[in-house]
Amino acid sequence: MEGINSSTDAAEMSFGELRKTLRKFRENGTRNATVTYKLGKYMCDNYSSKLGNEVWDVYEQMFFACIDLGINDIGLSYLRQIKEQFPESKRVYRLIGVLHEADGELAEAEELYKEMLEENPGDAAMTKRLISMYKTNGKTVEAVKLLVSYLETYKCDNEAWLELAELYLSEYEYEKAAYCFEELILISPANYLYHQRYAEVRYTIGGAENYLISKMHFCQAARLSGNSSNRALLGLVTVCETLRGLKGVTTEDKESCFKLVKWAKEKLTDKYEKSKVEVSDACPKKNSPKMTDHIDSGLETVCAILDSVKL
Amino acid sequence: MIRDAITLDPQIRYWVIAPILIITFLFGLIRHYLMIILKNGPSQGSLESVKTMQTLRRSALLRENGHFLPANSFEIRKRHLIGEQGALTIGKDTEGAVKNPMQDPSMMGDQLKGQMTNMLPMIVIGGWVSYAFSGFLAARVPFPLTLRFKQLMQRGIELSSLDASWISSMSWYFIGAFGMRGVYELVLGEDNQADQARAMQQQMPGGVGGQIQDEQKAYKAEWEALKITNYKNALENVEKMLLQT
Amino acid sequence: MRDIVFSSLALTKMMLHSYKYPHMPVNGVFLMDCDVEKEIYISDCVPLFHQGISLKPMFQLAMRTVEDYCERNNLAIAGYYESPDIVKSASPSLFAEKVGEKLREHFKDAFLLHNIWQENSKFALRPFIKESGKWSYSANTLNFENENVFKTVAELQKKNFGLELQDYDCYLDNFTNDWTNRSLQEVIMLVDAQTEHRDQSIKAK
Repeated sequence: MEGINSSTDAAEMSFGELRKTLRKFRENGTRNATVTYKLGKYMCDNYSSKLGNEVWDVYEQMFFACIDLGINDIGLSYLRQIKEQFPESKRVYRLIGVLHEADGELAEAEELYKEMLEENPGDAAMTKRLISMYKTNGKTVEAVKLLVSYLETYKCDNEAWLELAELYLSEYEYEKAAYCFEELILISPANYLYHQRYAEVRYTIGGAENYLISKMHFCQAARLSGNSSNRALLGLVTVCETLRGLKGVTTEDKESCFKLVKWAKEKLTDKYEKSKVEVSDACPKKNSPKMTDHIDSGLETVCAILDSVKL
Repeated sequence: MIRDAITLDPQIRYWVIAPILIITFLFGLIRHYLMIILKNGPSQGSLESVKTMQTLRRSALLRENGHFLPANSFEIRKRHLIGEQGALTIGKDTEGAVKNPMQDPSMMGDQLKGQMTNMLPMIVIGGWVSYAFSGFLAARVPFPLTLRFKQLMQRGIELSSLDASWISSMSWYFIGAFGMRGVYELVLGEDNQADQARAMQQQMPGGVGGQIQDEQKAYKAEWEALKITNYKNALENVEKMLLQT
Repeated sequence: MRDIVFSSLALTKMMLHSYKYPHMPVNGVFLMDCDVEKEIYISDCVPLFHQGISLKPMFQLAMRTVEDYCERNNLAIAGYYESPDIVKSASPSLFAEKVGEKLREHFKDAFLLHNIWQENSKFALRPFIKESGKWSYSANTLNFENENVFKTVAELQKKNFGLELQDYDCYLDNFTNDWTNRSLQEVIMLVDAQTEHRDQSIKAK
């Protein structure tokens, strides 16, 4: 799939390649709307008979691509076809909900999801859609409530705990966010990112005890990442320097902080040296020479070149 | 023990080894596709049973990984689970109905279908093999086996002085049926229904859908296990370990 | 209070930052050129984070780095912006206000910019200054040095140059990412010159 980007021409690809690419997108959950739409449209226009039952998966992908691109009415046409084929499917109702959301008909979407959830309270996917909708509308309180009740049942859903943590952080409920990260550490203690984030939250709450916990977890994050995580190393330096300047911290702890700072700074200096980028010192100021001063006559040429360039 | 003195008819290769193998393989394929057609869909336990499983899983995670948390956080969670109003306490004290697989109709149906598609072909082919291919040696396994295996591997051949390495066609069939897993994985991808070993596992009660038969017992076991788990800070020496790298 | 004037570069960088991460809250700071006396000239902007916005350790680190940079170049941190992903209120968040307070300790005219996404993928820039103990909306604070700045941003977005913007978060992931965005700065200046030139030729006709 190398080289597949928005300038790829679908006509140059074989049916097999098109199908494989779209399948890969589905497996990995990639939502590259422009490419999906281009490839999918070409495939549906020219090879729909060859697809067999896979055509419904492709239609669903096209639907999402249309929503992402903002061409909702075309998305609707795909949805209609899927609905005709699978009139009673829950998956289809979820898509209808997504369309409502995209059209701004939020009340309808909310009603639909709530109805589906009343019939099937255990439907995790539908619950997540409703939570996501609440979030988008700024209804953080409802989103949190629903997410908490979802987690009462599905206690080991990493994604959900992470989502809840982010919601709490956006509300500055740091203690509650810390609880969420603790749950994540329980589920996946080998994931250094959870330790890192947890350490950051503890640091933000503040106080000697929290700084000490934060220090331990930055250490663990650094260790688990093979000393490669910049944030873990920098966080370690930050928390240790804070502890050293704090009253109520034992001499022993301050000693260990000193050692850790030295150690971390060594590792960081190493990394800085390896990543040195030549950057000119001249920073933008009011009296910096303007482009127009220099290239007055050549500006036409420059504009022409710029017009032809696109990343 | 007679070893190399026995030479088998090379025709056995074409008329016994190959046919049994091919038939075993084909039936495995048929079983796989049949299961897909007949499958009920993923058996979702009720919300309550999901909650039970997740609670038990979380308690297990707490016992295993809780030592990465600060002491206070561990104790709070432990108390929350095994305290007076704890989820595990309530679970172990509730006289729950034992989920008898005989009484749950959909699970019964699933199990029956599984049993039919797995056992029936085995019985049929096994019978046919023992009818058509009995009374002679089919092959020899390349490694020496003890006498105990003779009973298993040499059904139908009543020769007490024969080396246990020689096997009958029936044994060859079984070897093929269970050993085909690698081939099926190549052909059908992972998680296929043709795998006999997996089929045996799935027939164990409570295996399908992960439903627990006796919830109360499970809660009790977990309650006791958590009660005796004492917190020990797993990150106590992380600084020392870090400074050494 | 002196007038606050935003250079194209500063505003462009801020807007590109928001466009690069449309579904995430972003924040950053504005740098003022201390050599200019008659007005508060915002010569540059440093995009900071696009995740973990309300967490202290990395934010403190970033601020220290930017402060060092400012000292070396006779600049000062004059403002803080945030573009929250969820529209919760029309005023700056608690965190933003705290940052504002801290900035005011060093520069008494420090301001906040609170951006709100609107439906047509544009966002409203809302400046806030502290008056009589409260942060209040001040529409007059937003003065552009160059009125074509929005055209410049549109042009850069069309050509996907906005994806090249590196914020401090990117720098933390990989030290080779330049949070001062020097190379992008040249492109921005070029496109800015182009839009100005185009505008002038239209006016001349």
